[in-house]
Amino acid sequence: MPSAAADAFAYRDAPHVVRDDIRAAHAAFWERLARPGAAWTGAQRVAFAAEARAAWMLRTEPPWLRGQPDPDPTIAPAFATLAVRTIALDVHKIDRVFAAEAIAALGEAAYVELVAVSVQTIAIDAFAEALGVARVPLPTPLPGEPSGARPEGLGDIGAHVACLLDYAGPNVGRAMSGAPDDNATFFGLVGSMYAVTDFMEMVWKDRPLSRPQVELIAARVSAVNECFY
Amino acid sequence: MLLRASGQAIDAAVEIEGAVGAVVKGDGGVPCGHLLAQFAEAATRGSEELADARAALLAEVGGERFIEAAATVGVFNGLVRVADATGIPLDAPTHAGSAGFRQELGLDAFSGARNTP
Repeated sequence: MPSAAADAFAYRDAPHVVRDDIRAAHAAFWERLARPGAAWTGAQRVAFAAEARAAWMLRTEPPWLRGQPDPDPTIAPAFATLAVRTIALDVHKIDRVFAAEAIAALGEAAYVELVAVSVQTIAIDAFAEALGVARVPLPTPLPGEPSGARPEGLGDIGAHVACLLDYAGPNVGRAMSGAPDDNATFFGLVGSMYAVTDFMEMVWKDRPLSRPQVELIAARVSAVNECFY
Repeated sequence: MLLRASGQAIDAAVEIEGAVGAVVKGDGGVPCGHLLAQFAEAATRGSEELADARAALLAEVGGERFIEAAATVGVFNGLVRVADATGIPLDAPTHAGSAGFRQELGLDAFSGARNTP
């Protein structure tokens, strides 16, 4: 891992060595985050990550003390800031109406990419906070324009957003298929921090925690977030 | 559902209520389950109990397992947001296989349940 991003994710203050594949996955997202996406510039993506990070830190406050988001209209439409903040703090409140408003304001590809940036930032920050180490500074945005690319084969699977129709795995694997590059880095995080190749195996050998121990943590996190899925 | 299935795979009597109920109860049939659940909850909420929960878990399970626990906390705080922000419905096999305990544990009252007809 020769890049600056990889060095940033050394996690030297952690109480134990963090596996290389976790560090590499975090670095891969950081590098992707800084670059233009399909719908947003690098500066916009890093701004969304900053908003997600700030909002995540507000979760300890009751809603009436969190203050209002302060969007910068020179960066992105105001609804983008609201959407990032809602994903970070109150994602269980996102319903079909909210998602439709977001998509009307931003466009579907832009909404999905914004979701992808937000959730990956929170996953990495939540890991650092759980470890008790400092969060890694956000990357410097790289110049360039969004590609406008949109994958083929998307359709209605009953979600708020269009997803790949030709797909055999669990729905969470195609939830962000409208932003394939970001979905790829997200599943890099999932594979290193949870499971991909051994997902279907109920008994994990040669792993530090047993499968039930990992699933207990997953269930508790899901319950605290009031996640039905 | 994966908690139950993985417990069954090793003949462990996993108690799901301890994992998803309002209050963390006991180990739930999972080694160090109480400490793992307390850590997951404190880290997800960012509560004042996090430092103690972290220290207790680290002392009990050691550094390597602690890193795995922190990684699981991190990635699931991302995964739940993917599911709810995109509104994906529950996968059909999971939907069919979880009906009993979803109702029993009150999971059908979670707002995300409306995403699955």
